[in-house]
This record gives sequence, C-alpha cells and structure tokens, in this order.
Amino acid sequence: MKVFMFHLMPYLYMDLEYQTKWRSPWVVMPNSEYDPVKGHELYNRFLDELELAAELGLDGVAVNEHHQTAYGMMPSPVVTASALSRRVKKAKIAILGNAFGLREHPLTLAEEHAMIDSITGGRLITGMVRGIGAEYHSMGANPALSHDRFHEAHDLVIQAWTRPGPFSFHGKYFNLEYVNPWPRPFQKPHPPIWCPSTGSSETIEWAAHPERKYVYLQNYSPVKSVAKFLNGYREVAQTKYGYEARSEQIGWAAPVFVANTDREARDLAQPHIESLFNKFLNLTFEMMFPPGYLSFDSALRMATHKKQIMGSQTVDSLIEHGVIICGSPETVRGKISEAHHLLGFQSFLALLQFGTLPRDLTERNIRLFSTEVAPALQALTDREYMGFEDSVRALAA
Amino acid sequence: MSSAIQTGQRIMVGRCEVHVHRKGAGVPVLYLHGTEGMSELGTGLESLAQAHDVIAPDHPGYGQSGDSDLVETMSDLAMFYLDLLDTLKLERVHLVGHSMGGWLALEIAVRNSGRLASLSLVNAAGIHVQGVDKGDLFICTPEESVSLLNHDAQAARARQAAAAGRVDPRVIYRNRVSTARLCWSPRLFNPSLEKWLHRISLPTLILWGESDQVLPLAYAHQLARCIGGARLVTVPACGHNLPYEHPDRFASELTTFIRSQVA
Repeated sequence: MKVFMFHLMPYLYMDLEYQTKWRSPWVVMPNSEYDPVKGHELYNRFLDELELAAELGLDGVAVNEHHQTAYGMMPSPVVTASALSRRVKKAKIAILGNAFGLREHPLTLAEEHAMIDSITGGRLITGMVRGIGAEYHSMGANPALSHDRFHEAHDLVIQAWTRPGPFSFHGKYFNLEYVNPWPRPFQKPHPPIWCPSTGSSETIEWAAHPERKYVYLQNYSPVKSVAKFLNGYREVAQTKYGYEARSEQIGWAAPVFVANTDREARDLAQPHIESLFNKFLNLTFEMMFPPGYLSFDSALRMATHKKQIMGSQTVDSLIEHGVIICGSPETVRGKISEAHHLLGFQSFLALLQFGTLPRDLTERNIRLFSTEVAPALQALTDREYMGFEDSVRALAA
Repeated sequence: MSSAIQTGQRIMVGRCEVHVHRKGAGVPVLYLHGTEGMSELGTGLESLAQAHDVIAPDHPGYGQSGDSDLVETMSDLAMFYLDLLDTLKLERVHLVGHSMGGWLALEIAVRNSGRLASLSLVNAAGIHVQGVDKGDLFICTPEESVSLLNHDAQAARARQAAAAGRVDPRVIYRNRVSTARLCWSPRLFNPSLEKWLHRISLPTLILWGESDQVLPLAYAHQLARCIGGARLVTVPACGHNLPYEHPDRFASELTTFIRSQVA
C-alpha cells in the first residue's frame, strides 16, 4: 500500500465563536478575519509538516483546492505543490484535486501540472474534481453546468497532454485554435489521475470507466460508507464495464491521530478534531448544494450523508463510526489493516493535521504515524485482501 | 364577465412540450414568470383574466413544461418565445414579465417586437447598475428567501403555508436548477442587453415594489432611463414579489396601462 500525508492547511487562527456573527467559514466570512502575518507563519509551518512526512518515508504528500474559506488556504494547490516540488525529493506530490472545470481556461492547469511533473521527474499525481458546491458561489461558476464543463475541461486537458500539437479544440465551453502546450508531462501518457469524492455514484461510474480507470478516493466518511463506495467501484467495473478493478484503483483518506495510548490520543485529538468537523466544515445546505450541482436524488442522499459528518460531532462518535482513526500505533495499524483486509485499497491518505491541531502535536503525530504505523501499511498487498466476493459476503453478514 | 377556463393546455413549440396556463378573453396578455416558476395563475393574474386573454406558460425546464435542448441561456429562451408567439399566432400581445421574466421580456422585445403591443416590466432583472448590489437568491435558506423576496415576510409565510404540499419538491428543485442555468452568472443580467434597450419603442410600463431587496429601486430608474417614454409606477410597502404581495394593485395597474394602449 502507498501511504500519503494529506494537508488541508486550515487558517487555524479563525475565531471559533464566529457563529454569532457569520453562518460559515466558507464564502461569507470576511477576509478581514485573515491576518497575512499569521498566514505567512502557517503556510511555512504546513509546508514543513508535509516535507517532514516525506523525509520520514511516506510515499507521498497531498494537497487540495478550496476557495475563499478558513477551512483551507489553498485556492491554488499548484502553488503548494510547486513549493514542495524541489524540497520533497522522492515522494509523490498529489494535487487532490484541482477543479479544472472552475477555470475559465483549464489549459493553464494542464501546463502547470506538466511543469510540476517535469520538475519532479514524474512524481505528480493529478486530482480532477468539480470543486465542492461552495466553490460555485465563490468563483461565480454556474453549478447547473458543472458536470458538463468538468467533462469538457477533462477532455481538453487529456488531449493537450497526449495528442501531438498544435491542434484546434472546439467544445461548448472551451474553444482554442492552437492547443500545443510546452512542456508536455514527464510521465507517459500523463500523470496518474485521481478522483477524490465523498461518494457520488456519478463520479464512481465516470472514474471506473475502462477508458479512464482513474483512482477513486473516498474521503470523510464513516468506514461503512467507505466500504460501500470502494466496493461500489469494483462492482461497477465488473458488472457495468466487464473488467476486474485493481486494488491500485481505490483509496481511502481519513483524519488520523496517533499517541502512546488510545486514551491519550482521544484526549489530545478531541478539541482539534471537533473543531474540524463542527467549526471548519460547517456549510449550509445552500452553500454545499447550489442548484444543479447534484441531481435531486443525489442532493437528498448527500444531505443525509453530511448529517453524519457535519455539526455536533464528538471525538467519540467520530472514532466509533470510523470517520477518524485515532489511538495508539497498534490500534491505528489494526484499524487500517482491518479495513484493508476487507476492502483491499492500495492507497491510504492520512490527514495528520486537522482543525486547530497545533504544531507540536502535529509533528508528533507525523513522526508516530510515519515510523510506527506507515511501515506496516506499506507492506500490505493484495495477499492480505480477502477478495471482492468475500468482502461483499462479509459486509452483507 | 364569464370566460372559458383553459388552464393546463399543452402545446408543442418545436420539439418541446410547453404547459400553458390560459384563462379569460379579450386582448392577449403573455405573462412571463420569474425565478421561482409558477404553479398556478395566482390572484393577480386571475383578476387580469377577467378582462384579458391571459396566457402564462411554464418556461421550458420549469413547472410542467418539458426541457428544451435549444434553451441554454436567456438569449435562447427569448428566441424560443418568439417561436412560441409564432406557434400560437398571437398578434398585438401585451407582454408582462416579472423578475427573471422581465429580463426575458426585454430580450424578446429587443429581438423582435413585431407581435407585441406593449411591454410591462415588474421588478424586472436584465441589467446591472454599478454600485447597487443585488440580493443573492441562491445562497439564502428557503426561510431567508421569504424575507429577501417580500416586504411582508409574515404574510408571505402565510401564503406559503396555504400552498404547502401543492407543489412537488422535485418540481421546485428543477425550477431552481433552471434558474441557476439562466441566471447564475452574470447574476440576473446580460451585460450586452442595456446598450440595445434604445431599440424598444413599445409603450412600456415599469412597475416596481419599492422595498425590493433583490433588485433595488435604482434598477427601475435605470430601466426607465434606458427605455424611451417608459412610465414608472412604484408601489410602497412591496418587495420583489409584487404580483404575489400586491395582486390587486398588480392587476389594476396592468389593466389601466393595457386599456390605455388599446383605446
């Protein structure tokens, strides 16, 4: 298994009592609440943390994109990945993801990803996402056109990376006479593409398509949902597309906190993990699901799912439902290995800094996870996986 | 005056089935609904139907109408309505549009007003006034939108409660998606529209709820400056949803205006 550290880079100096003034740290919290001096400190601290994880032997580091929010300070993950690209010497750098469809001009992202891939000698992983609903408020992009635009941006980028240029591209949203990007990506045919999601059947079917076979990454979910969606990917591959998905095609991302004992881990993580789920990850339904972002049925389903992960969460319920993995090295190893035995995913992304988690605790978490947990996970292969049919039977039982 | 009730007509415009609420007799009045769609004529249009042939379609993508692959933008919707006018062979039509429907009426009128007799714009979208922010229909909760759209939120809630359960939540969601497709960005306007408004030579009434928080009164004044000879009537203690908040005033102002054109 490949093990990554994922970072959200929250503006953790956010006033946690904001709810008396603003409904959400997304879209509407005034940016006068952001202090550039503190931002400078945080960016450098967070980059240090990712670099440390890479030095300690993790297979990769991962960053993502969100706009106009204290939840994450990476409107351009290309900048974060670029900042990492010369200091992280061996590990993969994963942008999970970039919202290609949100851009007026996705070709710029194709160029930027090709640059990072070239600088790192082929260590870039490209995540392609639509962006969450709030992004459509913040960036003025039309949520009703989101799927269409995303698919067209994807096609443009893949062609730009693989077809000899110059060629013209004429779509509904993007029209170019000369598609001919210099540089081309280092990797052939192009960087691996991952699709992080909280469980949209449309995304799973799209990612699993035989022309793509992109890695599907399940994040922020009770372990039961992780099982449902990762097996859903294998199921779609088998029944809809007639091929057997490889375990490398699925991954799981979850907040992780490791300490000497389960009790210590729980107590130390508590205020910080609760700040993530109850304060930073607080969006209204209208922010999360602008009209057309999801179909009516998906919006209803997702609203139910969000209730499981947003607002009034306690560390104990998050641990109990397996939304987070928290405990002694042995416990954390055990839980992830157990999930691997059941589901076989070959990528695991640990969110080792979350919410208000301070520098010292984050560093300790990174060290414990990288040295006491990750090596055991990195040794896991398909030999330790029970197999799809047994997994379906085990889950049904 | 008794009139043949013809609600619930279905007509084909090109390949799209359009559901049309139609009632009354007299000169034709084509009503273009706003962002929320319409489930019924409402008391304002019912009053208007006592003396006019009121024709109120659900736009493609709204209510009980089908989807049209031709309609992706407000410009497309305007062309679609020119097809609809041809299909119904309507002549000397008094065009009335509320909110987004007012924007649509403007887009139709600048393209071809050959079948039109007059234009009435009720708290109409379509242009942007620099420095005057519009209210955001999309980010507010359903509860907040009642306050945003109405001067008297309490009365609006009572109207909503009376209508509760009559509309399928799927229809409400589809209406919202269609409105997002047409109005999300640029928000409720077409940057190229204002410069062509001088081409409108139809008699025009601009009717506006004075406390509109979505399209503040400055928008009414700007429209009045752009359309030569337009008559501006403002209604106090009235928000964006003028046809629902003040249905009697809505009907009487339109009746007076349309009569003055017919006479």
